[in-house]
Amino acid sequence: MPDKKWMVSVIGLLLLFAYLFTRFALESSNIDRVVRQFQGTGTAQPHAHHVVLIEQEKSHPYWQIVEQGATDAAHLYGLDLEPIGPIVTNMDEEIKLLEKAIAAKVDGIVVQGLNDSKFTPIINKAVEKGIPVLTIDTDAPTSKRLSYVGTDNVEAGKVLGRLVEEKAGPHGKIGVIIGSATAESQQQRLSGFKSIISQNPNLKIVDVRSSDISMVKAIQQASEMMTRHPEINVMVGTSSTDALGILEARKSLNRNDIRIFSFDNLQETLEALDRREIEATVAQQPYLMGYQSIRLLVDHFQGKSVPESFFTTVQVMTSSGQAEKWGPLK
Amino acid sequence: MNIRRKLFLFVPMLVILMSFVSFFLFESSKKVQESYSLMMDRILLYKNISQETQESLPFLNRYLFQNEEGSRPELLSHMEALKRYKQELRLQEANGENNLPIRSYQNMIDTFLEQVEEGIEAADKQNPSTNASSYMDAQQTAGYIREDGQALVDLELQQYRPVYQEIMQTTERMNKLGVYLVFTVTALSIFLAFWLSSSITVPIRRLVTAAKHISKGMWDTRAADRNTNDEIGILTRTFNQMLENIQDLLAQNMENLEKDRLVKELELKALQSQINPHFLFNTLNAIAKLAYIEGAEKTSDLTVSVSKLLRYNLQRMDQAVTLQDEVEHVMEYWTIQKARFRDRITFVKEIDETVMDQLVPCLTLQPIIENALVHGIEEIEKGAVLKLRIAKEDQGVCVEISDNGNGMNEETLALLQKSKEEEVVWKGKNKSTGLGTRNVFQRLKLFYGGAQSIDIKSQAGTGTTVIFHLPWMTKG
Repeated sequence: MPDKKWMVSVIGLLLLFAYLFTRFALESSNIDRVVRQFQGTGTAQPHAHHVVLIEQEKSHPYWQIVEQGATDAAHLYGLDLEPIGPIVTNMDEEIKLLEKAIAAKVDGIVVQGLNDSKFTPIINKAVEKGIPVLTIDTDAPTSKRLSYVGTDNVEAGKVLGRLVEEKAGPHGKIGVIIGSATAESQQQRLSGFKSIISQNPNLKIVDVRSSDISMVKAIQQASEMMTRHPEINVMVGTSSTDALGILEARKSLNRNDIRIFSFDNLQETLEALDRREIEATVAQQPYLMGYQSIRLLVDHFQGKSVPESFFTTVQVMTSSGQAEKWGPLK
Repeated sequence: MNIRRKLFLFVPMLVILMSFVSFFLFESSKKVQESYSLMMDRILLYKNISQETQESLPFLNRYLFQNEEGSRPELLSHMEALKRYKQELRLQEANGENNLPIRSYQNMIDTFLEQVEEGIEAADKQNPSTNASSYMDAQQTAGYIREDGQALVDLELQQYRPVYQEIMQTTERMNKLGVYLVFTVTALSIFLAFWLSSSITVPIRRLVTAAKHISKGMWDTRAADRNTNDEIGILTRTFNQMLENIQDLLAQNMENLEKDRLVKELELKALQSQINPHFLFNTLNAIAKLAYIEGAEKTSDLTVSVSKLLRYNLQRMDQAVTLQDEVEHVMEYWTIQKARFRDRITFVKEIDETVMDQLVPCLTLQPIIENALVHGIEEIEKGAVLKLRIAKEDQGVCVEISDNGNGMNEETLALLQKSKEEEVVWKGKNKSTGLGTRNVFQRLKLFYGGAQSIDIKSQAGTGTTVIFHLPWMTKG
């Protein structure tokens, strides 16, 4: 074979080699990149404010909307937000998370003030250590918290009461499922609700039970209530999933005469509204709560004065169409 | 490309290519190792911190509640270790994911350290109620540290899992590519080796074939030239050049040989025409007898002389004869020539009879005498002298034949001188001139094996002298 042919085949092989080698080198640099990414760059940087959001239940739909609002605000203001919470509702666990956040010397805490007497000393301890604490959804009014962000629960209870008064007709026997027997917010809603109902002689609250914001427990309690008090023709759920539990119970007991009033605007609630299975709901603005709590903390970090409480409004919804109004704020 | 350059290019090229591959393999495996040990280091650090906090609690307990002074240094040493670990943790490079938890973790360690210090201070101030609360706090914080440490380990593993998967996948791809690369490089080296060896062996094989042909005498072969510029190409071309030169030389040589052969043939024919064959001898005998019958005795005698002369010529060409025989032959010749020249030429004979047994080749003297007559004195009208002198010398015999005739020109003399030693191609119009003489010289040389010597003296107008110095040689 003459030199030229040899040369061509050798160059061909060299090109093949170059191609394979390039890929080889790229893979090698890929490993390098992955490892470098894993190693991280530099020591922990002089950090942004570290804020902890302690939720009542980590995967609860309502709290996920709160978390979304807080996360968006944290992105906007450049905070490091760490949303934590028990897997299932557990107040002791929440308290422990609060203590832990104090031990971790975070820069700010947003917490549900579930029970005033239990939370107040710990919130005060945090504040003493220089950590500003905001209560969200439920207040701990006697503590040294910086501010409360959430629904005015007494007012929300009143709204619910007026709603029932308007829609339930002349003779209402009412059964109530509340989210928690201990949570301050639920108590406030109940008292607000009662204050309206008690003024109307045609209406009567027959029974009040707690679901511990568990859907399963809500179904169970509602069924029991319907069986024990068959005269009930109106049922009210004061936490987000309670009405859905009542709805399930009504379906299984075939008590289609019972009219259901709900709290919060979860996706399932809205669907039930559209199917006319639920009469109406009192919608809070969890997204706004999450968002505003972070914004108030930022104001505080910047030395601005912060209001004692920041109430987010509620609105009565009878169909999903109205949900648009409370879509995520940007 | 010449072979040297090929070698210089190919060998380092292959080595460098393979080194590159090994380098990258080494680099990436080093990286993987690094990432692994990095993760292990981090996990160990978290575990160490948890352990230190847990271990320090009993000492704190004993120091606070049992006032055990001995546990204080132990406690302090644990605190020191914890501070050291915290420093390590602070220097640890963070990535986005674990940034926040690590920060909290550090702060918790700080909290723990503060709480322990508070406890120690309180103990120093003998304040039991503070003792209890700070111990409780420290214990709680230690619990958090352990929990968070575990969480960090989990996080670390969780973070490492995609990295590990990615690395495993990449490594697999690299392994595959590595196999292809090895195949490619192997193929490359095989190709290069074949190229290199073929660029050496193929032309050499051609050269060998050509050389074999030549050794069999087939001179018209050529080694095929591929017009390459390498060393072997040059060798092939040089070989072919050499072959062409040899072919040229051979052709030239053959031509020369043929020419020589023709010249020899001509010379032989000429000689043959000078020496008359038997026919002439028989005829002469017949003439002599006829002359005698008719009463012409002189004519008869002359014819007899001619006949004798001829017979001598014919019979003894290849034999050694004595000087005596040669002299008698010369006298017969002279008898014939005397009839022709009468008294125009005087023949002088000076002969030492004691050396007449000396052996000489046949027909040594007569051609010289004839030459002297024909070329030297034939044209002289009067007073020409031809002299034959034979004398004894120290080591042999001296034979001298001289005339006072025309002599030779220098050119002829030079040629003649030269012909004493070697064969000379006689040029010019009278080709046969001197043939006899030269023949004599050659035969003398062969006969005496070079021990003789011959002198020739000649000058235009004054005559020629030819002297033979012959080594002593007799029969028996």
